[in-house]
Amino acid sequence: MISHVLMPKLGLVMKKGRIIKWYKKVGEYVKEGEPLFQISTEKVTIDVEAKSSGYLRVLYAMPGTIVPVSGIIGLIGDKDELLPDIKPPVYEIDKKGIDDSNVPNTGGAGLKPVSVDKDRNNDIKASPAAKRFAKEKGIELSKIKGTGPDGRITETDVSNYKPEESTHGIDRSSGIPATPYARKLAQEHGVSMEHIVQTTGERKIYAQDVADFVPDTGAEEASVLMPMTDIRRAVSDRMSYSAHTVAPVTLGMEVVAEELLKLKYALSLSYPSDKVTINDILVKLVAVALKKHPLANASLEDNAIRIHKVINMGIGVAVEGGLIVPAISNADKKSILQISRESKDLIERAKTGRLTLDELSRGTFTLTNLGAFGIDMFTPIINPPQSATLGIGKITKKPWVADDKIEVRSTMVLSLTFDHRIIDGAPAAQCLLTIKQYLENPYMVFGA
Amino acid sequence: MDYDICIIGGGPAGYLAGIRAAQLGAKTAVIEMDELGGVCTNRGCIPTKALLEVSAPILSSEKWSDMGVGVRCSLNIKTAMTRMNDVVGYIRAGIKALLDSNGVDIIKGKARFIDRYTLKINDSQTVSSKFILIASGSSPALPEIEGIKQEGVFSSDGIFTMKEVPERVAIIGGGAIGIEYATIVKSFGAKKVVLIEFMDRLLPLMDPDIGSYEKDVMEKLGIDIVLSHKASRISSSGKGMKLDLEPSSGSTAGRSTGPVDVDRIFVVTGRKPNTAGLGLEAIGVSASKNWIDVNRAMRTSVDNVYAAGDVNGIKLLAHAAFHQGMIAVENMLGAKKIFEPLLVPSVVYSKPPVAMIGMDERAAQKAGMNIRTGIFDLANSPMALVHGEPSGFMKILSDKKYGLVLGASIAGEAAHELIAVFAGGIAGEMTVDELRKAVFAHPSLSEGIAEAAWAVDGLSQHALKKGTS
Repeated sequence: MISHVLMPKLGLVMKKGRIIKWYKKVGEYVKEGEPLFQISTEKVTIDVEAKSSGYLRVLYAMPGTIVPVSGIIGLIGDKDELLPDIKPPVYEIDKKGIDDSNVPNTGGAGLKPVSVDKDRNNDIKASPAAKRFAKEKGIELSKIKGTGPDGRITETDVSNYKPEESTHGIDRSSGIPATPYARKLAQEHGVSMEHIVQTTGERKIYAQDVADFVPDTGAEEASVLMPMTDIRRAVSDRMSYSAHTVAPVTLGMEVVAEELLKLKYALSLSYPSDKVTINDILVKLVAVALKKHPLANASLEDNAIRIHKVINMGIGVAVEGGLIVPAISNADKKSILQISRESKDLIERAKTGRLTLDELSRGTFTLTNLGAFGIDMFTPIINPPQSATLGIGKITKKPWVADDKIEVRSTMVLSLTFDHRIIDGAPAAQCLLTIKQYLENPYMVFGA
Repeated sequence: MDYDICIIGGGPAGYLAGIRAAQLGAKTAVIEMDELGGVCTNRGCIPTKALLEVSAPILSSEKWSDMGVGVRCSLNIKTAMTRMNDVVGYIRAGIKALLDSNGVDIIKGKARFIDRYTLKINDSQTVSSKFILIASGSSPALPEIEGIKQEGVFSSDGIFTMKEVPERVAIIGGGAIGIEYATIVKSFGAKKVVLIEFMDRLLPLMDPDIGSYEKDVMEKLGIDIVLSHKASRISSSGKGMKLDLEPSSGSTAGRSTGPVDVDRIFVVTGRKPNTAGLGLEAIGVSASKNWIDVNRAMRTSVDNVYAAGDVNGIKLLAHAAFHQGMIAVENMLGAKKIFEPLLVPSVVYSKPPVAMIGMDERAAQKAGMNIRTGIFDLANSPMALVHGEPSGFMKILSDKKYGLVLGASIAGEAAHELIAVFAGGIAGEMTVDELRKAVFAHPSLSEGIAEAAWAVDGLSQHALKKGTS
């Protein structure tokens, strides 16, 4: 039986994934549960397992292809089974960072996938007719100057557009004699050869002429362009998604951490090899506190608020080039020791890129601790689609008024950012207050 | 004024400047006190190459017999010297014909400045000129060595009057001249040739890889090389001479090499500018240790007086002089040209030859540049193998960001010709991309150029896969 290989949906906000590589060639047998391909998406690169056994018959997406969730990327079936008549899908391609040396063949006569280069026309202001027309003619909209309102490109603009000589990827100024080095310099500085004044009396433009025209060419490089890695791009996408959709409000509250420190000390005496951290304790206490405030452990979906029955505590982990948030499942039900062990394992695997999709996408609330970096308080950004996140500041000794006397206490500041679309200020404040109570009196979890 | 441009000296800088000035319509005279053609034609580039051409079959006879051609060479030194003089004479006559045909006056005699516009020739005739180009060249400079004024001690000029091949020869100076002389005398039959260099490698002004390649070439020829030493004393001993050597100061060579017994010594360590008797003090031209100071346009401190060629000390090479001479007269007539030393190739006509142009790694690092180097080993060149000379390398130095070719070194057969690709390329601000785009004939040695251009990114195709060096 023929089964479709689809781009999986991993997490609520995932819209598309990029194929990194295939582990099987067309014609090879794959067993259900065996890794079949690798994708990069929300924060990580991850292996996807085959959902059924059979021979990989056709590929619709080469490495580098960006496929929307549930988009078809291949077919698995019996060796000689007749293939269904499927119209090859058209996907974007972004070859950056893809090892081209091992591109598989696609298999299946007449079933070659059609892939187009990433369509940059989408971000440019143009009428739908102009976009369609430009696509037909294979013109990049960015090259057309719009004459409509606000620089919008009209269909007439597209039909009036005369392509420049572009056989070598050089602009019209390629007709002007210049040395190869001068050309590269000019291109880098975005200067057209037409504008450069020849001063040396030679018959062509030399690097010196470009340098004279662009005053800072001789200077030290003012900036370095760093291409975005997949993980950086994922963090970037998510953060802007969060910033653009969430209505964040941050509440701050100072808590006394004396009991936390005592508990940590006690655990260190009982389980010296486990090295339980303040963070491990916080995961437990905050998770228990959330049980009382279900709206803080929720997510917004279309026109409904989903209240999660489980409390999976996400912990922000800084990894090379980005940030990922694996989650400890059922944190409210686990012991601190168990949490500590799981947490260390998650962090270790986060840094070596060996987390599972489930671990990365199951979080229902997020803890971010910047105390180690000396931060007192901050405004954490919500990890969508979660409804709230808690930022932890550093523990510091300070004068504290207790029973009308000034005493020295270890304290820290909690910053709770919540999505005002889901929770209002008062319940959020109550939630933070519960967290404060548990942190200042950890034994209260036994009554929870 | 008698002339628009008067040129003192009919060597490479002078005669070419004369032709160029005439082409541009200037009334021009070249003043020469000796023979037209200068050191290059008469006592330098040309006659040494004529002798090295005789060395070639002698040195390659072994190679031919490996290929199945039995060759026994015998040298008639008198014929070789006569032919050398014929070549020199032919070229000299050609220079005169060129000057004549361009309408350049040739004035025989020694010039001396009276003022900045006036020259006295042989203390009799006086000529005046709007512009004057000093192109008086240089002469061998003998260092202070005890006993250097022996009968058997010669400067670089001494090889051209050689009537027989001395049995034991010492050459003091491991630069281009020393290496070429060692090649000549050894191939002509000298039993023992000792090459002494003050620095710790041969050709100290060139890329260090070139220096070590050249050492192998010399040693294969059977030449004894003494590095990091200088001659301290020359004394007569029996029918020959005894040459005492001592480590050059600051050298880490340690133990001194013992004295060398030789029949003839060539001292080819340096040169001095020919400025004596020019009356430069009369017009106040500034100079450093007698080398005339010029700016990049070749103008001296006196604004109608220019200096080109060896006499300004920038680059003591005939082809540098050619360019400087032309640039000087063009600038006199209103152009704004500058001389770029990095465009000047250096070539040593050993067998096989070596050549270099532009920067080497040391210079680039000193200039704080971000560079990449690509090396292609000619052992991987099919053509080098066919020729039976599979040794040497091609090395390209490029700027990391743009791939701009900054310099090149070539060691091996035809290096002196192959370097021309880079002479043109660097002048045209070429990047490695153009060298990769260019199609080179197969088989040919020039293919190595593209390979070296790929090697800049570790991608030479005809080399076993490994990193760039």
